Amino acid sequence: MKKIGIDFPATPRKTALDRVEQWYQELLAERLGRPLEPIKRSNFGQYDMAVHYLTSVLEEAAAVNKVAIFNIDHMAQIQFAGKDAATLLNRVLPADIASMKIGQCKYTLLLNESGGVQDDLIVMKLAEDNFILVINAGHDITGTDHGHTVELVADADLIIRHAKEGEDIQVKDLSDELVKIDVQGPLSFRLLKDLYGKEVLANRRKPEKNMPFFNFNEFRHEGNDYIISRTGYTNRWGWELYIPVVAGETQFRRIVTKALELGGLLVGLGGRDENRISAGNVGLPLMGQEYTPAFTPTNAPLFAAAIDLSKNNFVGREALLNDKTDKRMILFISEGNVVDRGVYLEGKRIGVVASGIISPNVPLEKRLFICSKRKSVNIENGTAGIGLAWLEHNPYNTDAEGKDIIAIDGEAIRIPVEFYREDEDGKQKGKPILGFISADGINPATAPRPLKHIANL
Amino acid sequence: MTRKELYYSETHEWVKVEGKDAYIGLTDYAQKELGDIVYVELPEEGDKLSASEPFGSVEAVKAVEDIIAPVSGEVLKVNVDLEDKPELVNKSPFEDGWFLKIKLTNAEEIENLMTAEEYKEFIEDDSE
Repeated sequence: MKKIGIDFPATPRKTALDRVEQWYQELLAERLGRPLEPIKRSNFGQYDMAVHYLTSVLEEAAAVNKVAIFNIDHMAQIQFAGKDAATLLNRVLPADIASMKIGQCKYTLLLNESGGVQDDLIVMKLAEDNFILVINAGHDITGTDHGHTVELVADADLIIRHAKEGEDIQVKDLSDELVKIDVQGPLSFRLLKDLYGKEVLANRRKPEKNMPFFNFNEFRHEGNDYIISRTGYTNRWGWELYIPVVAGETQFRRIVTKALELGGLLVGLGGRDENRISAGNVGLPLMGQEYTPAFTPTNAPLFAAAIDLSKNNFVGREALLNDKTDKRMILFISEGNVVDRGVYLEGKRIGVVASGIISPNVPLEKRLFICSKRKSVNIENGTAGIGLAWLEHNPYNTDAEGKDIIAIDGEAIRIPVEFYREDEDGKQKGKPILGFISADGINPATAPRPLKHIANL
Repeated sequence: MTRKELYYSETHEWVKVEGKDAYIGLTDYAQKELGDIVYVELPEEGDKLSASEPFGSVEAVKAVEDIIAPVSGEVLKVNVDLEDKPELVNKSPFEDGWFLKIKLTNAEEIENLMTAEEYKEFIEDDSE
């Protein structure tokens, strides 16, 4: 069968907004009265992406306090159309695709037969026979890299191999036709309302109401078709906008100019990494960090939302049902950046850090709980490390129903831990970095809360 | 940016020799690669360093790097200013952002390091 995924690119690709990002960089320098600094870049999913434009820490705060704009054009959008598209997706993906309504978004995972995670994605249902899968950067590639060390299979190829003879399914990569820009944070509603009109943010069935969380609208603007969904990778109020490529640069300029006026920022990979780790009570996993093909997602955050084990069949179901591990993915707060360190409880190794970053969004009370000697942790506008770790076992006690006891009398349980660097034999070395595990997050998640709270900002 | 009078390691530390002593720090190239530095973990006075072994770490917002001893020695002085102002490594990597002053225990090791010119070529290759 002919493959759908593209060949491994010879050099990292550029997003459709590459040139206007440089335009933004000049605008930013002018607005802030700073010298023009080059954009810090890095390869992510075979795209040349901005790590930050200003500084990661300043950009990390934008989605919490004002508005954050993300150039997410490296993510791919794959259309599955045809009479049997829904049947195929429901056969492969672990979420209940069959019961989705038109206008709905659904978060789910693409698993392999061993229950390992190939990708996490959002499915949008545009019509009974028309779906778009929004997938991670680089998951549109089928082929080997030029050093022949990595072999990739695109999500579309992994899915289509489960199609049956004679089924009516057309797969099309729309990524080159669409530019994806995310608008996240409390002022995101105002920004989009000002630029595109309030009606694009309305509930498609009850236009007097606002769009519900995990829904989307299609709308026309200056002769082009757009999609806007009330979703995002920050667990804060926010939207993801799909713009036709002809209008990409123009709309990007309008959006970032408005964002700067509102005190917001364009945010790079660094800021976005913080925003997803600090998302909600337990953070959001990232493909390639917390999720890998070798590892089941059992007990990861959003497991229940992404996976419907009551479904009769999907790829990886048997493996998940047989996965009796009580491993846990947990969110921690630490006095420093503990990337790659081991997690120790009372001197015993209990797990390993999957992601870590320095955050300005941790409230002082939580930072003081660490009992750190570091001044940066203990001052009013200080910072702390945050991150996600996989623990080998559940660190919490369980109640009669087998649920984790994460709070007592409404107070989140905090489990103090130490993070050690480890040598090649896995033995701890050097001084520990202090921190604690808790399931009450960094800041509260605002994403699912009614938009009336921000509609008048 | 490099400094002529300094020696450089492949792991981006610089060494400034003053008689039998030497200062050690992180290069401008490395601080730029790491981004905003938020903490520097350093040894204590009297601790011994052996060449090519890690003696501390630099924490940036999104990354952590070990600091590798470019030469062997005994720690005479630690830059205590970095405790409260780790950003000195970003702002002034060759001056105020120095890490340690050490007594060289094997001065010949300096010859294993790169000159400014060699290091410049090295980082140009590295950034390709």
